[in-house]
Amino acid sequence: MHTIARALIISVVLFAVALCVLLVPLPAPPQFLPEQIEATNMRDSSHQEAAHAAWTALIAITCIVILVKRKRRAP
Amino acid sequence: MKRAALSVGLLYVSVLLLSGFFLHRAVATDTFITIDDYHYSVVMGSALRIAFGEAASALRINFGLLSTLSAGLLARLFAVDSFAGWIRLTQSFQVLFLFCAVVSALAFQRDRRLVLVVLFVSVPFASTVSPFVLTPNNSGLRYLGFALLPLALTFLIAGKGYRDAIVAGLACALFVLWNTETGIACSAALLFYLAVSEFAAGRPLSGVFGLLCIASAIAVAAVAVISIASLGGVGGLNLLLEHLIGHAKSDYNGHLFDKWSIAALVLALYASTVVIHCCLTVRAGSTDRHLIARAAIAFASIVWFAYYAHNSFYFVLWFNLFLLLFTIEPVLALGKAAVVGVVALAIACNIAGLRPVPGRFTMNSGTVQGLSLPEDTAVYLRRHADLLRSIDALRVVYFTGTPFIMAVMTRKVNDLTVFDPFGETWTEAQLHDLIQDALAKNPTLILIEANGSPLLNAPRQQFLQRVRKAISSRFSLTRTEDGFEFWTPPSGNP
Repeated sequence: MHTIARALIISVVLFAVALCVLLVPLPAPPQFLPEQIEATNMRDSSHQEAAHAAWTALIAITCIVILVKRKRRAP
Repeated sequence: MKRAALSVGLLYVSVLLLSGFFLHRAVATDTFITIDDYHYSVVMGSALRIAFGEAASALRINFGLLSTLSAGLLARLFAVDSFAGWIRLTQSFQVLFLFCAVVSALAFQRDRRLVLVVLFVSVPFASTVSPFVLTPNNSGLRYLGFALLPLALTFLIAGKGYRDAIVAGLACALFVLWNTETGIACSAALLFYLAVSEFAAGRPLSGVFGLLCIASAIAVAAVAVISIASLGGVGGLNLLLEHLIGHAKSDYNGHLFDKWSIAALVLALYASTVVIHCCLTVRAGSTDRHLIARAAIAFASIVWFAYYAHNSFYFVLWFNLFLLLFTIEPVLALGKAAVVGVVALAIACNIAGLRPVPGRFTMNSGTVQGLSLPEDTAVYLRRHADLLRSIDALRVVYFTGTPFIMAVMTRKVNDLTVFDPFGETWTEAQLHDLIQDALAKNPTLILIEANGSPLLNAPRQQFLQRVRKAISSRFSLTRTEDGFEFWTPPSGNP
């Protein structure tokens, strides 16, 4: 299979796995002053941040696995 | 035909880049409070205090040490003494951003097509009449590191081994010190490049790990040395991290699904594909350093998505688009149609994202501080500032709805760690720290913007009510004059 197609498939899988973090319950976010919530239109983003952290970590681990596999195969 | 197209293009760039320098900011009072003064206070407040001659070590610097020092020192050098002057400074950083992006593109690929794509796609962002001029935390001042990242990678492409580790370490330190959030993304890119390029060149895993350790140690040491030189000690480093850690803990402004989610998904999958494709190609035996450098920029984009997850606005996403422009070289090589297609798509994204808003800047003359504010607000601001300027009591602390313009007009700032009490106080604990900081200065007079002032909207009124409640055990309201309440200790006599 073409490398770009393989990379895209791996990317989609990693992204889908990272999105599963959105389903995990997380601790309540910190309490802000109500006027700050009104002024800046704040919304809790802890799930999105956790999903991003998982996605980045999955990509980094995948890169290491791909590269290390080559080294092991090398004579 | 080609020359005519280039002339039109350059005219378009010149108009967007230069027009803002000849216009005045036109703004309604409420927008001025919530957009202009709010953002300049939180971003440029510490730079203003540096321009006034205060030491950086006493300040909470919200958006990066070197960017703040640069803004403060430039303001002092060019004697910036009005709000419009500070807007001009931000506009100059917009132009600098574009200049650095173009130089980086030229050095990175030596391909005129990429330079033109970067120029035409970035100019709506870098325009001196763009909305980002009014919110310097979204301007070229903060994001200069992203414009310079391809240039830093170009230096790495030219070297290898220990030389690259040293260059990467020093560059990481400079990027982080310029702005912590963007610096982390740029550092991730540089370390990714260092690791994968050395791996591709045949260096064993332990050797690659050793190089990463050397680069990281140099980065940490350089951050410490530059901080000691700028802040007088590493103790001041927590001031830099405070904002970042505050952001990491605060979890605000996330949107699970909105219209930008589709663009974010496309860019995220593209960035991830570029990185994994690079690793697969290196595994197959490639040592193409430009391919690895492009993947490194995509890696920076992946890390920068953290900020989008935290603060899901189109302008945060725009930088993913900007970074990924440097990875499209293979697409551009397909021919002219591909170049035109990429430019058209990116400009369409720009227009959708940056949405031109008419009336932001005007040719009308300014009413106060080079700004075109409503006349009654301008009169109120002048009277308010005159009163503050006339007070010669020792140790005054004042709370106003518009701290930045008040400080610029009076050259008086609070001797507190934060510049903008409202803008930098988000939680009960921070409010407690703010009041303790203010009371520790043993003030002889506290001024609070009176209710009914045109400079206060509902959230600011609520916040100042908390301040009144917190100080009322030690201070009492004695009188109200020209929009300020005078709060004095029992024996005080302002």
